[in-house]
Amino acid sequence: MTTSILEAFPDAGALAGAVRRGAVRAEAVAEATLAAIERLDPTVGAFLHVAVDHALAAARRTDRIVREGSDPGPLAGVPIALKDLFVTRGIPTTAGSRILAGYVPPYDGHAASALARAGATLVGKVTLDEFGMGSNGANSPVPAPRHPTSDDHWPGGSSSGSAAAVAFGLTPLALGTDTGGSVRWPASCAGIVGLKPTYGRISRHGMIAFASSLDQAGPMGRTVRCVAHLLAVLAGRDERDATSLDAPVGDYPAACEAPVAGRTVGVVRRALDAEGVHPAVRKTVADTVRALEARGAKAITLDLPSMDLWVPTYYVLACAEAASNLARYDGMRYGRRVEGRDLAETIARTRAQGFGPEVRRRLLVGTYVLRKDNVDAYYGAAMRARAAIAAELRGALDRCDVLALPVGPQPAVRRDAGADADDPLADYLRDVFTVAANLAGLPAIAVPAGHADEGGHRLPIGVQLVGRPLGEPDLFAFAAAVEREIGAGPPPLREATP
Amino acid sequence: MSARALDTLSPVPLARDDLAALAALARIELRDDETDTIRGEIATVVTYLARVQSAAAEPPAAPTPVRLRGDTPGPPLPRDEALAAAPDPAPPFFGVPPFIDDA
Amino acid sequence: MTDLVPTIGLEIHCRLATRTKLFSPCPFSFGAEPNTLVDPYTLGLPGTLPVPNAAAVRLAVRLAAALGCTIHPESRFARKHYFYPDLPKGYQITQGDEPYATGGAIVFEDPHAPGTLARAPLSRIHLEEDAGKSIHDRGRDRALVDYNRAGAALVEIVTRPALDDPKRAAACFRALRAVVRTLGVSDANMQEGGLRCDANVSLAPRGAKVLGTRCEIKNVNSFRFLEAAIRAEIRRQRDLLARGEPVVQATVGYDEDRDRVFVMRTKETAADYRYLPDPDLPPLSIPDDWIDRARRACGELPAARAVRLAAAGVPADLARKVSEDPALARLFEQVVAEGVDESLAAKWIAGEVGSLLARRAGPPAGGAAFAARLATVLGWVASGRRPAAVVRRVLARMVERDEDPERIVADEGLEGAGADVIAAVAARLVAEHPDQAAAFRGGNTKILGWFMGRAMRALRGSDPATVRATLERALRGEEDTP
Repeated sequence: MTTSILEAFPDAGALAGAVRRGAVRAEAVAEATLAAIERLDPTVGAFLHVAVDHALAAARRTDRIVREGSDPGPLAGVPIALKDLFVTRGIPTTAGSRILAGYVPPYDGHAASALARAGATLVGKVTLDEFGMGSNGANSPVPAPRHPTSDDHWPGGSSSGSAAAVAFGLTPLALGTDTGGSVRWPASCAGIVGLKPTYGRISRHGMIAFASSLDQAGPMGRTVRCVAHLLAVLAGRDERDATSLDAPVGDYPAACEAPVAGRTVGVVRRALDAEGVHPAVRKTVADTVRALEARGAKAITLDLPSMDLWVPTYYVLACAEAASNLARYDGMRYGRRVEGRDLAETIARTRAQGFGPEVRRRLLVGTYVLRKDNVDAYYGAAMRARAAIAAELRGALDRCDVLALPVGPQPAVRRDAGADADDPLADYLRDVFTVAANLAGLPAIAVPAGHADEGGHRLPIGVQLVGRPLGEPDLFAFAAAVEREIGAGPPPLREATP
Repeated sequence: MSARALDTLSPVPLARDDLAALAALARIELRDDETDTIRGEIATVVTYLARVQSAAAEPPAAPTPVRLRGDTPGPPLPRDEALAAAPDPAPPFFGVPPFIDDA
Repeated sequence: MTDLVPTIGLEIHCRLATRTKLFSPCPFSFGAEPNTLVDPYTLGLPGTLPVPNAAAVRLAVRLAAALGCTIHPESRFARKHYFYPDLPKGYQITQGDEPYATGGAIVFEDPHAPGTLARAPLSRIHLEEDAGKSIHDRGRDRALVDYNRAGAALVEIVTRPALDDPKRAAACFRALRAVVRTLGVSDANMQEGGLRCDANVSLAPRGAKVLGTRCEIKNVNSFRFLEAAIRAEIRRQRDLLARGEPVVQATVGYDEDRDRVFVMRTKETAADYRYLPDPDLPPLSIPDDWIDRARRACGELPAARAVRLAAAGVPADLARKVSEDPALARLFEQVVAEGVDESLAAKWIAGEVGSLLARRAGPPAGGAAFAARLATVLGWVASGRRPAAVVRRVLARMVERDEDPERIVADEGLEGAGADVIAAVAARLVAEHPDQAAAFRGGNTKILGWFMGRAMRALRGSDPATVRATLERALRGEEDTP
């Protein structure tokens, strides 16, 4: 089944190559993938919608193109799962929210059409924290997916389903979104690779907006090279997104082979020494630095004193932009509507019942910080703080090629979180290491580099590398070096037992 | 990492009326039995977020200006597709609760 | 009661003459079937993003240059939030604190002092997208929304609260309409919602440093009603204050039938729109060469031209017509460039040519050649080379057919006879009709008309005045000197 296909082709590029050569039929890959999903997903819980007909039609089209001798695309026949924030024509797209229950878009967004052009086989839409808001995978009308090695832990979010699809071997590639760490964190928890590209590298057209100035689509896969292949077909300027960058797309898979000898990694001491950082996380970063040094890189220590401002700055901006972006969900043109006695009540009831508690909280906070009386003290101040944080990170990256940081303070979050469950800030504070890259628009990658043993479970731990604007090639080089040297890799594919 | 260490900040007050006004502005109906909890949560969060004010002022980097689009028409959505997801389709219109259109 | 004076400010929404909407390539035109000019962005579907229309920005720059505004090389788009079914995203993209143009003025002929120009200083002009339209469902208790108009490109022109009189306000609005039409910025068709005006009105004692509470009259779409509505609102506020009641900030509508304003809704608290610089849109940069070109291209504005032509002797209504009507204004500029006298051009273009074009209900035949041909014909008028009757005949045909004026004259035999031919015809008629000639000499001057009829039939195209004079001399037996 899929397991054997993935074992035969550990790299998405290799799988595509086999399909392009005609050595493997895309339809066979699709059928095996769909069968594995049918068998395993009831226990994994990654998929919200499996697009069976669409997947088979896409795969057959790919095979026909190969038979005709034309170019089926660089990801020909590779199955991929899309986080349900990506708009897909004719396939339900819900943002993981009741307010969009049953919504079927009439258009394809950038990701869907670029992947189709690349010959990939879209197999379905995977679950998430509602509208991308959350870091456990728990903010959802459906149960969160399983963590690949521990039923006691959350899988991480908000791209929970994307990480699960890859970690459980259902698809070799998945696309998530990262606003404050939502690709890197679940990738770290799952022991897979997740990239948040430079802001503007991938078009946001057709990506349901949470926080416009922070959101980016994030390729996820079992290896650095897989992620590089996926970035290659998605990156580039799109006329339909005024914030997408007009910059050439590098040869990302080739960048994975570039040496790191003579290059510099910056270690952020303040992050390692911060209160609440798990020893295994500290060790993971230290091991990463040692691994890079073994490959000839130089390590320097830096300080980023603005760190205490990262989380509040992020949440002011993210909540404000979310409140704005979600104002369109009023039940008038699409989605669910709940009737009230008049217009205002209809809208208020529709939104109250359509949005989950975390989304409602963030919308209220966002509305608060944008109110006339508060906007300068909160939003204005956060914009100024953001500029300061970005300048500091840019300055740091003048002295080194990449920064090394933890992804999260802990390996994973226990489902029985206890006291923290009542504290809305507890989850926010755990985002401290990931939000900085979003605030500064910098690319950042999570690559497996360690683990923690907890209660009989081996919890993967990723390390985070942050690069300069458009520094994805450097990130791939360093991340691939870590991958080769440490070889942490994703956990072995296991049959999920019911 | 604990939020308890942040108790040193002076709490931002959020009266019941404030929350009601906020909820009305955000068009989110709150049930009576949840207003106190939500009020506490929002107050906690905005108290914490107030620390952005301690940032030093920094002029932001000048962003690249927006790229403009030519005035070439693209295909509109067929009307039946536009109305397909409407909660109350009233072809050729979208049906909505009554309101005053003064524009 | 102390002397209360009104303060009036106008907010004018003008739809730009673009083929597509402001932030998406969805086509826009007035009058299409409901919800046939919508695309995913127009409906605010999840995942859609705004991309600004270059043509809209160019037209906006052209307008600001013509009105003498400061055009800012950098400006921003901002989101203005409110929940309304005709606002698909729950926010409108407008420009907030950083509009692309500030300052400038609308110049208009002062209705209280014809022949002089007045200025209504502007606060700002900004770009923004329009909202959808709704109607009430007669069958059920609901509204029906049409999003065709949602997203259409608008500029909002905001005057300073510096107008002091309803007539001046209406004249100012009218002048703005003429400007946008002659510049090609907008068709400003008020029946089609291409130009809408809101008026803010307040009263305060003369000399007061603080303005009174203002009320907003929304959406007036005719000059006449604007003047009447402002007058009615001033009356309403005066009455309130005379009774000792305060003016409460409100939005009012105008009832044309009763000539009264009515309060639509009061605004006890100003709305909080939670303005946010739009994170989907980097700053708008207007290149210097766009601004330079726009400033150079904007010639004389309609109000100034009308006043100038009237001062030169053109009847006021013709002066205004030739200045305000875009097609006539363009013709005027073209024939004047060919050397035709301005007053002559104005009278004929606003008069004869204007009527012919109105009847034709379309542009004249001949395309780009028409203006040069018109200049030739008007040259005949100036030199007296051909009589007015011939000119009118040639114009009537030239408007309908792509033909040179000389060709038309030849074709219809309008060349007219020389003086000796006229003298010969006159002599023959007198000789052939001695009784009628005698009657004329006997005092029956009316019989000259009878001779004129026969003479003009033989002398088609000739100047009637010349024929008449020649006949008179022939009838009186005077020798005609060749």
